[in-house]
Amino acid sequence: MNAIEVYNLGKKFKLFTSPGGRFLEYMSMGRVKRHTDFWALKDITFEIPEGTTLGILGQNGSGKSTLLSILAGVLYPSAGSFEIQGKVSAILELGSGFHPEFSGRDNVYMYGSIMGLSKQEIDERFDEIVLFSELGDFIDQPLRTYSSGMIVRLAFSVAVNVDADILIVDEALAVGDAIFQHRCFRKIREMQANGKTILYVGHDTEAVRNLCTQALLLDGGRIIERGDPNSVVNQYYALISEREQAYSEGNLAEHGETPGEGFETVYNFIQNLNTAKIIAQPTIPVVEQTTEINSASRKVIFAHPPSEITFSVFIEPESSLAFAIGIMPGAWEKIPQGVKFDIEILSDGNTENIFSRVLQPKRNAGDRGWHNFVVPLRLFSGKTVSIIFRTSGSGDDLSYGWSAWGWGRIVKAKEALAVTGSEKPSSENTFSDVFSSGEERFGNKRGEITCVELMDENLDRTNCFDSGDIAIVRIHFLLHEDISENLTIGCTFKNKYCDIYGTNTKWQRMDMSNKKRDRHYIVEFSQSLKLNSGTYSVNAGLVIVHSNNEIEVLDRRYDCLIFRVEKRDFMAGIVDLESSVKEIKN
Amino acid sequence: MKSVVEYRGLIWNFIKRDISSKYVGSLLGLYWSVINPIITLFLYIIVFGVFLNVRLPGSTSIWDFALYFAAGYLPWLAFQDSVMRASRSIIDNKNYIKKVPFPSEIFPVYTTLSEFVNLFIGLGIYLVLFLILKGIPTIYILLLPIAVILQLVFTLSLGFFLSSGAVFFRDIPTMLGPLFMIWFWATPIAYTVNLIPMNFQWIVMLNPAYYMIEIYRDALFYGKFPEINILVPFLIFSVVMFVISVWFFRKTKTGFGELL
Repeated sequence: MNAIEVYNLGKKFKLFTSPGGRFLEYMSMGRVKRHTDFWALKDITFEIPEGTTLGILGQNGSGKSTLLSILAGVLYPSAGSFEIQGKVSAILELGSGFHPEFSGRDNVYMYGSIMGLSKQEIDERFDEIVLFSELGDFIDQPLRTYSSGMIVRLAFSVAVNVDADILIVDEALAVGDAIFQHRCFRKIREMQANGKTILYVGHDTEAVRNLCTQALLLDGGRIIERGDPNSVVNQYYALISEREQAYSEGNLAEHGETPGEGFETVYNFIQNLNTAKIIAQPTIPVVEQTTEINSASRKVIFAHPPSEITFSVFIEPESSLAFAIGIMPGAWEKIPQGVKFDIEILSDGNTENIFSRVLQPKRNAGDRGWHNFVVPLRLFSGKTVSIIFRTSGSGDDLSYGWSAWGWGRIVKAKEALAVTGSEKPSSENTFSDVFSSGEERFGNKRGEITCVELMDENLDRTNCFDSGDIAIVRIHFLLHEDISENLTIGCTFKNKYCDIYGTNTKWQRMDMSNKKRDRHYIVEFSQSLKLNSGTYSVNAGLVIVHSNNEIEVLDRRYDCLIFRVEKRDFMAGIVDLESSVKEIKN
Repeated sequence: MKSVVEYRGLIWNFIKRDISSKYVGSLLGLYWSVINPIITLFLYIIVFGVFLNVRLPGSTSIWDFALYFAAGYLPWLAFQDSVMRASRSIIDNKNYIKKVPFPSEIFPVYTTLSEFVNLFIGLGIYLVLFLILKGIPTIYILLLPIAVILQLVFTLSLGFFLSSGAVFFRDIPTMLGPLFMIWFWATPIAYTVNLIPMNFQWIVMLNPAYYMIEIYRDALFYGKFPEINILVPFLIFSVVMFVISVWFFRKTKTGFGELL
């Protein structure tokens, strides 16, 4: 059974430029329009089965809190609907619903009765609440004397002790100290075991990886990704890092990942536009256009939202989809809610979303310009599929959403040059069902990690180890320009939930200065895998750590290697600390 | 209204908290509720009764006028205070409305109810005055609950209208001060209805507060059953107002979360 079902939910805020505007609109009974609409949420559809712990990630302003406020019943949706089975307990903000002049005790009773508990029911739980919050004698002091940590402890204690079926937590845990956070996590696990449904929102990706059974990534008020927490967290990192990169570079014309010279085009979408099936607004057709980028003419498909362009294509083995998305500069300032770009592939009757991205050029300077992407089509090789390019706006910004798909094509590595390196390790990853996401990769590509190899101590490639074995990770990289200093190569080992160990050339005090462009380099990390049985993965990174500690990511590959460790004797946890045990006789 | 019944425990908690925050540990609360009305009463009686020599028709006693004035003024004061506070109830509690999911009807209801403490204090003051000046009140004092309930219904309906309206027009609570002053002088409280020139009498007839105060004066001062053409129109008016105001509040409350 689903605890929460959300269907096409949308939330519109009216933005007024002046306080008088709202008044004028009321007085004119709708004849005067002085506001602009802003959709904080748009077309949100999902369901949460009972007993799920769902983590919601997203940048500030992506609509997380609006979504929670709606589910908690504080805001009303402007579109769509939602259904909740069971009682909801929400911690939306630190100490909300508490009164500063009253004692902790009074506030507990107050809050309890807000949550619908009778006096006896609160009496029964009161000792438990005080114990959990560690407030002790402070419970009879007025709340204004409390520290923020004490308030959040009290709020959390009450919220988890009111016997709700659904607990909504919005970033509140971050305020408590380490011990309390620990206890909260334990309490949350206990609630999970009791089949409660939990919604957790926060920027703490480790907590999402650790606690949640599912995750959701919101951007620009829309759902970008839904699924396994690990892959959603990776996608979240990729999203913010790409945006940050574009912003800090100030290179707003074009950036992102392009296939490079070793690839040839096997299918060009723009040339085949006349064969595509197009659904669009009748007044604004989907057409081919030419645009100037860095004083070169490039061809794009002008696809005003909402639009849908469907191509029927045969996918050759080992091919990838390369394309760009962008919004015409003239519209940057005019579409606050941005445009969402989706690519779906229809194959054997199943539709799979392979790409989702919101561009909000007004909010995020990093969303301006053209963004290149390469998406591997390995899963569909050898099939004839329908590739659907879809753009959607908010519905209100029709006359301004000049969005376009740039130079879309299917590419394939040239036979002669078939680079063994970059493709091979990922095809060896036979545990990809565990890390269903596969690899997540981003960076500005001033240099790139061409290949990451995993070997045993005899330098044989493998991805199965016994606990305690030596594992060798070789990171091959190629620079596209000279980099004289601060180049750092890092390697992190992790499991599905957390980072286990990571190091880099800087911390290892390795001299990586004066590296030249177009040269291949190899860095080797050697370590002993004192780990419990399980599946692990490796993140490899090629970065420049600037003197102000700012990190410029050239190429980062998350989960680029996946391996298994077998441990014959039993232990608990992740890391083998090689304990020795003896009895002391007295 | 179902929610109000469901949340009666919570409303009661709010009221207790509200009252204790006003009176516990603060002499000021007591001042506002007891001393202030007494001082005002005294001033009005001096100015109107002594200086201006206002008397009730068929009476020469200044005490008759004093009781007449007190019987109208004390309920009026409670009415005015509770409407003014109720009008701010949504804005003042935005901390709850934005963050905690429960019906916002509770706020105007609990502020109105908690302000009614002032009404009871006022009625207490009146009865003490009456005992001193006239002795034991008549049997018609038992009509008092009717007057109180009608006042409550009327106050609540204004509370629903104004508290919700104040979210959209923040100036409403501030504007109420002067409006209530006009309303007070337009209502025969400090003077008698026969002092109003004939061609202005219709204003009084359209003024719901006049009906409300009349019922109080019948119960407290005149000691007679209210006239049917006072009681029935006010009863119908209050109930209709109440229904419309609840509908209006329901209609508009969806906007509270985002406008606050």
